Amino acid sequence: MEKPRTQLMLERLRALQATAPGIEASAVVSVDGLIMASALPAEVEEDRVSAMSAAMLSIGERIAGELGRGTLQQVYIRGENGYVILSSIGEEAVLTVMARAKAKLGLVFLDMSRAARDLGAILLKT
Amino acid sequence: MQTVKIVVTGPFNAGKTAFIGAISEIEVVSTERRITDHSESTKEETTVAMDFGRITVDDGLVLYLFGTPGQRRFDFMWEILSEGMLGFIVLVDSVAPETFHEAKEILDLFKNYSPACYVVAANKQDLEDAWPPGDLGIALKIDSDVKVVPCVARDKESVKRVLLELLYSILETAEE
Repeated sequence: MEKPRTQLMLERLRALQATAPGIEASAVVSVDGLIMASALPAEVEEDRVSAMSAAMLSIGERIAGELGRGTLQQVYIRGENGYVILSSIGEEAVLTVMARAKAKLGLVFLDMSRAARDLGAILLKT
Repeated sequence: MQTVKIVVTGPFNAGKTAFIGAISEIEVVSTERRITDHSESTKEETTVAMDFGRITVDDGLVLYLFGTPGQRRFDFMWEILSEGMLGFIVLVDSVAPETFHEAKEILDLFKNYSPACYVVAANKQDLEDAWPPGDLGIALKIDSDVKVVPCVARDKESVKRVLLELLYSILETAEE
């Protein structure tokens, strides 16, 4: 029997975190802000992360469109202690990643885009 | 020219996005997303960040309208959007008494954010089962000095009346 989609997504998120050591946490969120799969530390409230991801992505899309930057690919937030990076997965979902301040961003972006592609394929399965 | 920030809030499906859409003179900046979980509602789309619209009242006064998401998981946006507001409108779905409690909680939260003026808009008055504004005000235990205005959010004239009531309240408070 095939594994449920949540399980497949979770495994893909764990694989992402194993490949890119700079990535501390990750989640897949629906565009209306509900969690689909998450590999987040226990102290992170996943409901808030998911809602904030959806809000941020939607604002990013509007800004990119309004200012003639085309379809949004990524939202990138840099804080003193690290990064939060959001990538859309098709039209239905968002990949949210939290990375350490010292993470190698080039690798993080590359691994994220691969993960987003795979996660998109998992989501398309019915 | 003076610009005034007004926030439109209220529970899920109260009509906030429609309210701003009916009156805004610019294309509304909206962040509606398709609802994935249909056990929550039969509605197709919901606001996940904010709506933004603008209306020029006259040469001297422009209103900036900010609509909030209605679902509680987006409550971090409520506080962000309430910054610097001069007044707010709590939209209530007059045919959904099960949302009145949530409406009251949202109202109290916004009162906490800022001492700004507010009115309550009893929306969907065009529907048969709508609670009259007076009864709705009693059910929500709205202070007697606060206006509960009848409203049909898809109707521009109706939305205009709600905004004017709020502006009058703001002016009255300013004069006191």
